[in-house]
Order: sequence, then structure tokens, then C-alpha cells
Amino acid sequence: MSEENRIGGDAGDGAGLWTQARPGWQASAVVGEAPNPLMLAAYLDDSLDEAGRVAVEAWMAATPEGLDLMISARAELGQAPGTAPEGLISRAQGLVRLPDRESAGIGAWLRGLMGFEPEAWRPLAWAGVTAALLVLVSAGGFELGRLGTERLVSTQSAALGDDLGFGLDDPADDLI
Amino acid sequence: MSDQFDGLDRLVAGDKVAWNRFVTRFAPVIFAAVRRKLVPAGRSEDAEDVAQDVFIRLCARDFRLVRNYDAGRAKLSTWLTVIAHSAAIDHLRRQKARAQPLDSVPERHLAVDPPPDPVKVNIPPGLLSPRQALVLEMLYRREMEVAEAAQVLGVNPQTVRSTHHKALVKLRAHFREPED
Repeated sequence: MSEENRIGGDAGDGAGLWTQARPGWQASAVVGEAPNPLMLAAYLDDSLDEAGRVAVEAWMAATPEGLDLMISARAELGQAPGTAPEGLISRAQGLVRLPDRESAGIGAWLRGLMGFEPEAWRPLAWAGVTAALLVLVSAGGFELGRLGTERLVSTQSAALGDDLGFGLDDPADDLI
Repeated sequence: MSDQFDGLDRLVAGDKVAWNRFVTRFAPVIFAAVRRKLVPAGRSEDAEDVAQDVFIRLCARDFRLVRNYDAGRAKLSTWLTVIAHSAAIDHLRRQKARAQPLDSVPERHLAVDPPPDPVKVNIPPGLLSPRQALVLEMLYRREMEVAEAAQVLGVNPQTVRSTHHKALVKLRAHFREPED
């Protein structure tokens, strides 16, 4: 398509005029801050008021990167999105973790240890934890009992006058 | 507005189920937008990482971006498309900056010729409206077709032609005026 057909009879001097005027226009253009994504999206959806539209177009005219962004975004809107890779979906979903719901120490600790919510296994899991704790308590109790028995035997042996040669003083000696 | 997502309030409150639904629903939109920007630049292999970067931006600072979204102003898919394209452009800019270290450039290419004396052209503020300047920029600097420019602006092609004509009338009149 010829240039004249694109923009009518003005094509002849248009390029030259804009080349000449462009630096001066950029120097005098009043361009505010870069519009935020919501404002740009509203422009693309044609839901901005006149002032907003003017601001976005001023930014597009003065900012090559801004014009790039809007050209490509506009072209994108008419396209079907297709599918996303499963890996992307799982990585993105992993950015937000489950909260510590009960914030109970052992509950949160257990979830952290197992790495997942044991929804279906909860009753068995708690039973297992309880059993393990009982075993620990029992074993600890037996151990304490054993140590206590050993000390009692040791004390009784000393009291019978059995000199074990360890230099252990019997307080009763001071009373003799 | 259509294509809205029921659950943004729960999402910004940290609801994982809402977040997972959001990702499942809009990952295709974000990935497609990123990929279409990267493929012409020969960087299609970066699409997943850049798309992930978009989701990171959405989560950042306690979902600050999402909190600022207003469903009454723009469609969610349009808003996400803008963010995705912005991320892809940023990525390409960073890649370009890393592509050629200064030390690898021959010195003769680094020489700077003295600039020509600039022709001072005073364009008073308001001579051209932003839209007029934008149309001239798209048609002459970007060499876009009238229909393409109309699509970007969201107007019909006749509006572009009319805007273009009025802009050139103003410029011709301005350049014909004698210098004071």
C-alpha cells in the first residue's frame, strides 16, 4: 500500500514536518508520572475519562517504551491465551503457603515435619504421636527409677562400712 | 466488566485456595502475554521465568498490586496483560544491557562525533495535542498503518486520518510564521 493511500494527500511533507517538530514538541510536552498498570488497562478498555486519556496518550507520545508497551498490549487483547505449563502453575501456586491455622505448637511442628496437611491421616497421626510420647515418658520414668535405685544401693553399701577406696566421706564419721 | 474473579478479597487476605484458583485461571493469560513479547526477540525460553516473576510481583509487599486493582476501572485480564508485557519489556531491556560488555566493543565504535549544530525549532506547549503528536509518531516514526494506529488508540481509522490532517495543518501554519 503506498504512503499516499495510507494517509491521503498529507503524506508528502508529513514525515519532514514531524522530524523537524518532534524534538521541540518533546521539549515542551507536559508529561506527568508514568501511568500505573490500572490506568493503562483502563485506557485499553476505553473506560478512562478525558483527562486520563489525554495523560496516557501524552505519556505514549513522549515515551518510546510506553508506546511499545501499549502497542503490544493492545495486540495481545484480541488473542486467545492458550494453556500455561504445569510447572509454572505449581511454582506460582507455591508462592503462597498455608497459614498456621491452630498455631498450636505441636500441630504446626508436625505439619512442618510432614510437609503437607495430613487431613486424612490426622486420627492415625495423633494416635502415633500419643503412643510415641507414652513410650518416651515410660522409658524416661524407668531410667529415672533405675538411677534412683543405683544411688540407693550405693548409699546402703557405704553405710555397711564397705570401704570402696573412693575417698567418699561418710558424714556419720564426724560424729565419732 | 466481565472476566472478573470472585475471591480477590480472600486472596489478598492470604487465602491459599483463592490464590491457587487465581493462578490456575490467569496463568494462561500471563504466560501467553509474556511469551508473545519474548518470542520475536528470540527469548522464548525465558517465558516461564518471566511469567513467574509476574506472580512474584503480584504477591510482593502483601499483594500490594492486587490491592490496588479496581474491578470498576478495567478488566482483570487487561490489567494482568499490561503487567505481563511490562515485565517482559523489562526483561528484554536487562538482557540487552548484559548482551555486550563495553570492553568488547572496538574503540572506533565508541568514538563520539561532535553533534551538528541543532536547528532550533520552538514548538509552543499546546500547539499539538498529545493525540496529534501520538498519531504523527505512530505513522511516521513507527511507520504504522492507519488501521494499526487506530487499533492502538481504540478509535476508527477515519479518526486517525482526521487527527493526522489537523496536526499537519497546525505544523505548517507554525513553520510559516515569521520568526520574531
